[in-house]
Amino acid sequence: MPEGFAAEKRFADREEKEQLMQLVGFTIGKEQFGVDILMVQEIIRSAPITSVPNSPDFIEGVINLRGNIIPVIELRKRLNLYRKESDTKDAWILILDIGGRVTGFIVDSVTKVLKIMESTIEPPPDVIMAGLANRYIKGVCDIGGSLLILLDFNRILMADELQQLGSIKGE
Amino acid sequence: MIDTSMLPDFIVEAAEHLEEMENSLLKLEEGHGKENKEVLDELFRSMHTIKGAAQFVGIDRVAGLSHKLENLLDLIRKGTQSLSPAVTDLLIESKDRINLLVEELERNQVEDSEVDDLLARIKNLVEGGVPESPVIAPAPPPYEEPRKGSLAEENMAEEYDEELYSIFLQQLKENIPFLYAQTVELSISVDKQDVLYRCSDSIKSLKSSANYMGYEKLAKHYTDWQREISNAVDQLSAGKMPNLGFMQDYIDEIIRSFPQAMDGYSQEDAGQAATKKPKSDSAALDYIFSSDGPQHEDEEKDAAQANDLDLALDSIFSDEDEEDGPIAVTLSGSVDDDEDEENDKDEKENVRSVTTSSAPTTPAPPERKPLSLEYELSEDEHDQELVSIFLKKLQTDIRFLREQETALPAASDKKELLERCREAVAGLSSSANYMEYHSLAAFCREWQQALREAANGSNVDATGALHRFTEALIQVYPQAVVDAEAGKQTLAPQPKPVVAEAVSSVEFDNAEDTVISLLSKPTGEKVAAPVPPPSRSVPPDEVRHRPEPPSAEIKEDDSELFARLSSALDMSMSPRSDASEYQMDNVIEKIMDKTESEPEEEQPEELAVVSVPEATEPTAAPEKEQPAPLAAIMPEPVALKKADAPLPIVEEEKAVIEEPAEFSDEEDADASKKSAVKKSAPRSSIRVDADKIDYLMNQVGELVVSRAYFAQLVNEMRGLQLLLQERAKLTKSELKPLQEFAFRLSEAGVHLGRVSNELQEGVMKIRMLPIDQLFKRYPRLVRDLTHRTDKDIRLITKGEETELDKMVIESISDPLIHIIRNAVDHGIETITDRKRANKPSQGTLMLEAYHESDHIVVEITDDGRGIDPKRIRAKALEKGLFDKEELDRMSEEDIIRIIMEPGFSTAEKATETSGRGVGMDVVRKNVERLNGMIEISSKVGQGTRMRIKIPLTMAIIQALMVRVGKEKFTIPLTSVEETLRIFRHEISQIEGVDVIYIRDTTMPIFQLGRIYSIDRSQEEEDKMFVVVVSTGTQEVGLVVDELLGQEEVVIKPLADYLRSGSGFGGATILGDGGISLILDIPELVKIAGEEQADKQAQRNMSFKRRRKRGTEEEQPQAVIH
Repeated sequence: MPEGFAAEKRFADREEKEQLMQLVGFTIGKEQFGVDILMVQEIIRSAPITSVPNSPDFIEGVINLRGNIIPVIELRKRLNLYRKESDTKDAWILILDIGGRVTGFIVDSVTKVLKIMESTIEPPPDVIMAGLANRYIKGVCDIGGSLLILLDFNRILMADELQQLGSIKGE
Repeated sequence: MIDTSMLPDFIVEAAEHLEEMENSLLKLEEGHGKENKEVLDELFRSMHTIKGAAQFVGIDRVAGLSHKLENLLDLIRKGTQSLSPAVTDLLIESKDRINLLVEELERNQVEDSEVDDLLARIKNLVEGGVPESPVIAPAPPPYEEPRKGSLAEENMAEEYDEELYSIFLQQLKENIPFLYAQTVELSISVDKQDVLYRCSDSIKSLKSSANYMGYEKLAKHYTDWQREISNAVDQLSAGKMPNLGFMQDYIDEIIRSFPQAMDGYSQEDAGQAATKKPKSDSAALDYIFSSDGPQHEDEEKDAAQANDLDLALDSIFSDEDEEDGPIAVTLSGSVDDDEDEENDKDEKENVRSVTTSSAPTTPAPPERKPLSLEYELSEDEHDQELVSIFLKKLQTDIRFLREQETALPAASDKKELLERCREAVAGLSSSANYMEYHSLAAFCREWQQALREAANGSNVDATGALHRFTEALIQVYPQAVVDAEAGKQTLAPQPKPVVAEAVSSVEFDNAEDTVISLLSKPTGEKVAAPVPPPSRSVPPDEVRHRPEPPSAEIKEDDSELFARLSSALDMSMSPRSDASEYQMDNVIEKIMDKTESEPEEEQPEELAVVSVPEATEPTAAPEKEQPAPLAAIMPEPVALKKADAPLPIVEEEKAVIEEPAEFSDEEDADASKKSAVKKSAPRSSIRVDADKIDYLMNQVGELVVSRAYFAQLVNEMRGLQLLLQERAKLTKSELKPLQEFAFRLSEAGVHLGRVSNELQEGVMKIRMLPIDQLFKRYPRLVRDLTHRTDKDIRLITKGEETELDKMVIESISDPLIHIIRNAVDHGIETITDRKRANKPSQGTLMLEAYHESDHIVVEITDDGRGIDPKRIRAKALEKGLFDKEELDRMSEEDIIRIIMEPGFSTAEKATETSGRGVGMDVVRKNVERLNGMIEISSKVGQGTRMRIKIPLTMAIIQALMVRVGKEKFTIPLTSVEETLRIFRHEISQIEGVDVIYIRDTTMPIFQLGRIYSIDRSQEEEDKMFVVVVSTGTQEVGLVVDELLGQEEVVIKPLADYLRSGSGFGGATILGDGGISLILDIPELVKIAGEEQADKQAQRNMSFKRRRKRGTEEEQPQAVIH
């Protein structure tokens, strides 16, 4: 009997967890973005980035993360957001594990870990958000008056491959 | 259906065997005549193993096909089927199909390809090839028997699976005579209910088998029968006397449909049995056993002259000869989930019903003879796994039983304890059944009976009963005792866990399960498979013995008697001589005597019989349908093994058993597999996940990096020292501690370096595999290419033992195929052409591998017509790859290299006129990807030699570090030819390309900084370094700002979108933690070349516009960065 109870409780816990989603919030310019905390491997402050010549321009370069060489993507350029401000020194690098492909993304700042109910996430609106093509948006969510954009990093990586292919053909 | 957890293992194993088979098949095709016996044996074994594994995992098509092939091979082996080219073709094709199936399994876990066509062909071949040899024909005897009776109409000979059918038949043969006997008994028995229950159980198992076979009518028949029985039971319990005539009706109906079920059991006998009540039991059992296997002519002959006992014994021996012994059995039932003891109690009823159904011992005959138990372990290597699992079980059970035996006198609830023992024995019995150790199974049944009696209080001396049986068992299976001995000591004080363990291994013995597992047991080979594993089962039941109130002496004597009996049986099995028969009779007489009076003395000569070597068996074989190569298959006589120390496998198992943890099926299988491997292969090897090695390699790479870091620290330390000396004006004595420390630090660095070097080497060696792996694929390729052509080519391989990185092996596999195909298709001439050219008619293709410093060289040499540079030239001109002037400037070698140009090959392929070129550009690309190089030398009319030079490994390379602007790049040393220092004025331009003159030729140079748009404004422009790199086809110079030195670097992968089109093959981590990109020279040269081609195109338009365009071209690139 106690076992059954425990199982029930576990089940309930899981259900609760499913509903509650933890996000890492970050900003680029004035926009607030979020990414599922489970995807975030770590967050580092500016590491020495080695640039890779002849690579797509949104690729900032590669970093050495404890012996692994990880590409770093300038998310602002990748998403074609506003012009880059002058200072990049304070940039943060979000290291995300996207389906086994560990990639770094440069963002302006990392705000905090947010807990939101999954049910509050709405599908991306048809109108373009913050000058951002909505194929990269997984959903949006209202957090205390401001809007948080959940990015679909799978798309972001996938599409960049396509772009890369395109650029080769272009050459 | 398919057990996916086992699938990966199967795939690996099957692939290995298939590879082996391919070799054998090719050998078979080559060698005409009889001397390929060994090859056939090898083939057969591989096929057998694949079949067993496939059945084990539940891969039906592979299992089916391999089974047929196995049969076919056996026929060939026996000489019944001639080895015509058609047969070898079929074999090869079938092997390919299995290969395909295995590949499909690997990809999507299902078998897609059909095998029916091949099955049909094999069938045709076999039937056409051996029209009248029922003795050897793989079809089971029932095949030929006419069927009548309404139930039989479902049997469609073409449709059913032979193996399943034989299992089904086996069931039938075991159960029907039993039911028959029970029916007879029913009329006279007092406890009719009990008899009916037993019958019901028996019918239940029959029903399952009918269901399994899809015989609906038969299943319904059984259902009806069961219903009748339960009705009868109800009536009985209500105190009424039901009409039991229906039993006979149902049985008759089945016998009408399946006459073979009653083989060896004539109506006359049945009547006899009926009249001879209450002895009918043993009689019925005799029939059960005599009908156990396919009928044999010997049997009748013997039956005529021998007494009852002899008849039974003989019949079993003859059975044995036909039986295949242990077969690959699904493990589902043999090792089981552990459940609590409480559950066991619930299952006791089940267990009992099973055991009663299989051991019809009530009412017990008044006089019983001692038990016989024979050593039945098979040494057939294919079934090692099963044997070891069985042995493990045996050990566990014996340990448990012995332990119980000690606990018995003190136990409060003797009955429960005995019940537990009985369950253990029941479990053992089922295992024995799986393994087809009939004697042991019967022994176990007897044992259970004794235990039941003891538990019921009918036999007072329970301990004695237990002890006697255990000792008898140990006597015959000495392997079990080793462990039992140890187990007894360690485990006796704390019986609880042991109970759990033993119980866990027992409780699958529930009727349903047993039936299912029996059904799923692939027993097809029983009839059809030709390897007769020496399963030594021996008739037990006719020498049935009721446990007598034993005394200490009797215990002793019993075990001795067992030994003697078993040895006598052993003996009698081998040469069927009068002497042995006499001897056996002798022993049996003795045993019988003993039951009445205590034996006075032993017969010492019997002990010698134990070691009658197996080799004598084949002499008796022919008449018993035993193929001759038996001795070759199991070189070690079983009897000797038995007398000797326990098998190695037992020791292995012992280690496993000593761990208290319960094992899952898989683990068991694994453990036994390992032990089997260990035993069969002298060189021990383990199979490791490649990822693990890669991980290790990665870590070693890290170590190499830290070593470099260490070296850098030492350098910095020296710098610090100098700084202190200069700035702080420290004296030498003040600096001394620092100096000493720096020295020690560098010492430590050196040590670290040494260790990491060795570690690196070691790990790298793990990844090394002999190139044989690769080479042995090609004989088949050559065979296929020359098949049905008028070319005769001998493939020679040399240096197969040369080892190289597994990854490298995989990557050069395809290039080699291309080259070999070219050599065979285009290089080597047809026989007529060769004769005309005064060459030996057989062409030679040689594959050779050897080391050359850090490299492996693979040479492919043929003695064909060679490559004609003139034709290449003409072709290149025609295709517009080069203009005439360029071609004129080229050396002959360069011209030959043109075949590796992209664009050249396709034309060549289309016309298929001469020379090579099929996919040679692909070959070059692949080789270059490995940082390797390819050279071609050819002489017209004499042959061609391709030389592929590749680095040993791809993970760690020697590299030259260079600096361009602020960036550091790494150039693989394999590509570096030399480094030069030049002045700006040495560079001149030819057609817009920067070139330098070196050794009387011009060499194009590229500015690395310009290709990669690197800001190098601070560099002095006048003097520069040029790294001359070679792509194999051409040499170019790369202009860099500084040469940093040679280093060993670990290649780290780059994300694919960074690699493609960038000219970088990877990256490496520098000593200071920075990153340096590794240049992919061929790719880089290509990029640079394209850029130049662009420029040239502009130039052709107009000089002015070119200039303009050129500046523009550089502009956007700068913007990107």
